[in-house]
Amino acid sequence: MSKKDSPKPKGKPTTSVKKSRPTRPPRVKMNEQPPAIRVKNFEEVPFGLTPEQARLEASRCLQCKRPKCVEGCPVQVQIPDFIALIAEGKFVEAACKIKETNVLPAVCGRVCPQETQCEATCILGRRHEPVAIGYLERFCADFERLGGHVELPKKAKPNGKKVAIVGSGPSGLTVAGDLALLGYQVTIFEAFHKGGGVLVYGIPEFRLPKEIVEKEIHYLERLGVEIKYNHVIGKCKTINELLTRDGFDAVFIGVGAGLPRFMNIPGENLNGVYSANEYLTRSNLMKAYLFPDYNTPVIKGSKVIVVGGGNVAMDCARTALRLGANKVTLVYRRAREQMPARAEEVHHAEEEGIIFKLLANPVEIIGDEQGNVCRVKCQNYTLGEPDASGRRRPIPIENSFFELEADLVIIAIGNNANPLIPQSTKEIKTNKWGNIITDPIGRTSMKRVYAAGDIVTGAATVISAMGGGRLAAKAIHFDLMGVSDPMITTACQLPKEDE
Amino acid sequence: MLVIDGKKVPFVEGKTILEIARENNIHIPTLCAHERLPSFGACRLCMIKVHGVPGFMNACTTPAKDGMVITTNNLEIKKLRRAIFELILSEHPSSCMICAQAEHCDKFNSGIMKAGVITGCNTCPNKDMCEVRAIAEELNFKTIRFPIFYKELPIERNDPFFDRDYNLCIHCGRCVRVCQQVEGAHILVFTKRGHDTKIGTSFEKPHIETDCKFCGQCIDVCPTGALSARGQKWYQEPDDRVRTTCMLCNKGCRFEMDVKWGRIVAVRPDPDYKTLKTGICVKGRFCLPTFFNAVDRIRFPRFLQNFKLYPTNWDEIGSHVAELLEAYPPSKIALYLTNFLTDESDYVFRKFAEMMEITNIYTTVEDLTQIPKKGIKVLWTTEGLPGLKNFKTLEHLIFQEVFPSEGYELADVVLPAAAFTEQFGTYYTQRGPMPIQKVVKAPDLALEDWKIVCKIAQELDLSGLNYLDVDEIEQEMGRVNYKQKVRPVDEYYLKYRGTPIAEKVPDFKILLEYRKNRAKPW
Amino acid sequence: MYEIVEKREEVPNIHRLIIREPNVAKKAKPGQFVILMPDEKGERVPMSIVETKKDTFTIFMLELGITTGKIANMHPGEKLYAVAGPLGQPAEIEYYGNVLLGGGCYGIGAIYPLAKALKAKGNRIVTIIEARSKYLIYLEEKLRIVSDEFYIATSDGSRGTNGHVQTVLDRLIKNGHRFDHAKFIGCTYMMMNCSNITAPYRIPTRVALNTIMLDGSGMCGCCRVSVGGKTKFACVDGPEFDGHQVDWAELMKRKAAYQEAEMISYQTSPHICRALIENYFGESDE
Repeated sequence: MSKKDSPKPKGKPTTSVKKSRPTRPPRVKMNEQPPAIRVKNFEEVPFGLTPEQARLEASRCLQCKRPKCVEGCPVQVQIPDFIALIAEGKFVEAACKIKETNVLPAVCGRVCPQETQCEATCILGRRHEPVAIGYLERFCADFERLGGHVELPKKAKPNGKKVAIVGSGPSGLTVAGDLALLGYQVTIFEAFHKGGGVLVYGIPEFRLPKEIVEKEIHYLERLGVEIKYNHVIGKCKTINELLTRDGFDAVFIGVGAGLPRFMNIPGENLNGVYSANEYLTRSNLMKAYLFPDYNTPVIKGSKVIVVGGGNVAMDCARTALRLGANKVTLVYRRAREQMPARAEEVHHAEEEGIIFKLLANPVEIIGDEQGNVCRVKCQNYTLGEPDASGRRRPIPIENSFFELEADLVIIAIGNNANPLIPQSTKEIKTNKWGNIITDPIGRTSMKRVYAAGDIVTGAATVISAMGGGRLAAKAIHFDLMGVSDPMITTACQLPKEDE
Repeated sequence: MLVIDGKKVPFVEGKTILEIARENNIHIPTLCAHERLPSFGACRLCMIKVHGVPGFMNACTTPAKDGMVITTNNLEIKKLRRAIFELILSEHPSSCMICAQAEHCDKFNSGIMKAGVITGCNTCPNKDMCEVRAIAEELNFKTIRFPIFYKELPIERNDPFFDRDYNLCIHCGRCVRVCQQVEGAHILVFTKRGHDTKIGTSFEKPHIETDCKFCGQCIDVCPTGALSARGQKWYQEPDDRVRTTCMLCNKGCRFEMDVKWGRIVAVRPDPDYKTLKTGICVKGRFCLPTFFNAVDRIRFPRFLQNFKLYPTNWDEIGSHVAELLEAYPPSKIALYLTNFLTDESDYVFRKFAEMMEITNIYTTVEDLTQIPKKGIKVLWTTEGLPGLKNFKTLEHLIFQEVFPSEGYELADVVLPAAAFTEQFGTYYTQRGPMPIQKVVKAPDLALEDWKIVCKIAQELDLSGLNYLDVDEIEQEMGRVNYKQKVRPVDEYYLKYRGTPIAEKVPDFKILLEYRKNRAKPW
Repeated sequence: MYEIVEKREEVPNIHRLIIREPNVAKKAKPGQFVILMPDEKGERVPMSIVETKKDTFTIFMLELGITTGKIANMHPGEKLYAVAGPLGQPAEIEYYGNVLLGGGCYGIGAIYPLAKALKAKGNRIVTIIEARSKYLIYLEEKLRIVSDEFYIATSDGSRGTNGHVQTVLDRLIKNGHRFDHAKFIGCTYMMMNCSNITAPYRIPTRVALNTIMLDGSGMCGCCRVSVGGKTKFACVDGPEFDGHQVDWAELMKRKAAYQEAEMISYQTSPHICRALIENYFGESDE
């Protein structure tokens, strides 16, 4: 059967190509699974662009002389350059262009909040809709990967320096990629049996297929990065041991924010109350959605309550639907405008039928005799004056309680820093929330030890962790090899080494 | 007339005392007696006193005589019965039955611990069905005066489908009798004598090396947890039991399926049908639950885009298929009808073909050779077929199946079909037309084959293919005198539609591989 | 690494495994545990570390459920998919004076390193172990050597006292034994019963909790327990806690959370087939 002849499915329009328009074509729309279908499977929701769609979309780019989009990107991907290559049909070259500055394009094309970064600053967005930079990034990366010809960039000669990286999440992978290219011998220590950190345990399959993360890690391995799994640093080795006994010249800490927050309300230890971390880890990393083929179970729930308003809360709610819940209610104590989740995620969640119970917060979880959750008592909230974060402060309304039925409650109100490493390494200073204190380019209070990502900033995005990792990699290169990078020296005014 | 425990009961010629007592609701504890099996007199728990006869007799082996006066329970009998049972318990891992903490432990450790070896009731999958345990409760046992003896026999796990732990065996001989006298197989025998008495195969060979058919009847009659179906033992009480006819071949065996959590968890012969006597084959007894519960069932309609088959809904796929069929003349379209369609689905498919003027209807792999001859461009198949990629004329493949079997990777449209346990219908067998019952729900969007045809017919604006249920189709089939014939699918056919059963059931694969040189694998 | 060096079923369901993993062997202290995975599809199961030697360590694994069943079906020379550790806080090992140790099930093995370490600190060790029946007792000789007094209890009375650890413990206390410290490892029910016995006598009691775990590094909160009214994570704050402070009822309910789900696991039982395939066709079918 010739695949190219396969007719386009009828129904929803596949592209918004309209030949009659003489001017700029409208922003491309990506095909996706119908909501009623996708809530029953864990396959990726959007289908990705076809080559034709991608070229058409790329042709919309104005190719600004001083592109604002690049400024909006935490890792400064040369956006107009790669888009120009797509427009010419040079898809693999475009992918290589992105990879110069971003080691994880297939990931970022899917999970970055483009609408607040590159696409927010797109000039086209002032009059029309911005160029779909995220879609295009994803397209190049997928094209390269599915085509099977991922080129390895040129590597510098080995410089004889060894760097240990703790954690294989977005920041760790970025540092590893950058330093490997610069000629370092890089070893990643990962606590889990699979690499990728939050990309594998946190972000669900339907948002980021795990096969992509595996491919990205495989790419790093081809670059010469060694990954040691099942190494819980702080337990099986300390940072000090890495620097002394194991002879690493520098250590980068990118362990993320791995300590789930609970609400400290009655009933939180009932069966059927999960932290978002546990729920997502079971479902994603341990593949409980493929149970019993995979042996780790997860409570499926029919009436599910998710507490929180971030991307993680959306992921939990959408996962619960896919695991078979009849009704998923998201309880968030502020209003929709204050939700930290990406607009696209909120939109997808709503399309899938998730109920938003805003301006409310649980005060008690009520269980049955077997110790299973059966109801959640909530209180109504109102909004007050803006707080330190700039968002309006939620204020509970007295005596305004109501109850929701539930057999599964997922608490997605964020994470604190995991104390495993600071506890075992007193030299590393932390702030009152347990986050590691660093200078602007990632140096910690301990010599030759660097950190970035959520362990420094508190829970944030994949791309900001990557941006932090990029700076830390440059800082390491500067400190170990004395190589100055214009960006680092100008932006951060490095203090001179004392020696 | 007999008198049992002072109660007058009618005499029936040819029945044992036990049978008459049971018919009259007089309880006599037994372990070896079983309604389906001839009497044996092994456990001796059913001992009774017949007045005027010295000593005690077994109720299960003593034929009733008119005028007998019988006592089933007095102090003396009770004492003897307890002593006999105590001996049985001393050689059965019975610590949980007599443990002082048993009640509390049960409350705190709800459910069975799924241990590798059964060392007491709370690790025994048969706990709630256990007849030994029931009698221990009836006789209210708290201690065992005899020395406790664990036989330390190795657990027999060298066979597909079942585990055998003869450390739990109480030598009731039910399995031996069902094997010899019901199945006529003579696989299980008593080996050794006296204190070393053990049940097993001759020469202690694994069952796979004997002529064992893996009918599973021995497991069904075992009063303890000694014999258990490996993949099916832990579910305890089912939520539901449904009877249906097997469609894996044309024999038309009836069986009863246990359903729990919306899944088929076990299969047994239908107790009200003669399959109880003949037994059902290993495919039905052991393979079916694992097979249909396999994780890679086709669950959604799919279509090809960006080199990938993406899931979608019935509306979209319906119009997609309709568009595809309309784009080609009927002479370039072929249908492949599998032997595993119910009569109703087969009828609806053929009616559809007639309305569409599709004359290329294939039912065997040999028929496929016509594809190049006739220049067929669209093939709508209802089972996975080998060698499709050799047919260069084919432009589109509509793949309607239960599993992604052979040819799936070539499909550009995938339609998820329900398995035979997920639909109502009729199947014409050697025993004539047999009813098919819906046992469980089809996964996600999978539909009965006839419903899929109706969906697509609707998109094509074909009238007359709009049925509510199978009854409506059946009535129409009667009117038009549609005659189905017995499908050429014999007992040893190893596929369901296009999927080899062994592919999804690893134990079955072992059985076939090991016995590949035999004329018949079971 | 992760190679199974030795494996033996000591008594039914209790497997002694020696696993090669220098990172664990070099660092492990008494009371710590490892997380194992037999294959990519298995669960992450925590196991107490019993002994370490150069680059290997020993565990006593209770075969219970599908994942431990898979490990039980592996052979020496094969490799586990994942071994992470040592995890958790080491047990409190001090000089207390008279120390009572109670072990049941896998805890008979897990109590041994504590007995050794406590003995080395100069404590007087009284050990009580329990089993359902005499054929389920293991490690007796080794435990006798490190114990000053040694008792056995069986639920069917086939050996030692008819009863449980708490039966013997109760008798000892009533007969005038004084204990300055107690540690219990075994099934949750037994640890609860024993803690209830020591509470009125104010014997400081430590129990090693065997909660369900996922990551073992404090990331998920799956293993949370209420201790003295506060939520603790057994993987990073424990596994050893004050037995008088643990909310036992909650703990037992939490442990039963996946009872039903576990049963479904068995419908696909390729791990057992693996053993079969090897048996009949020589090699395992990967």
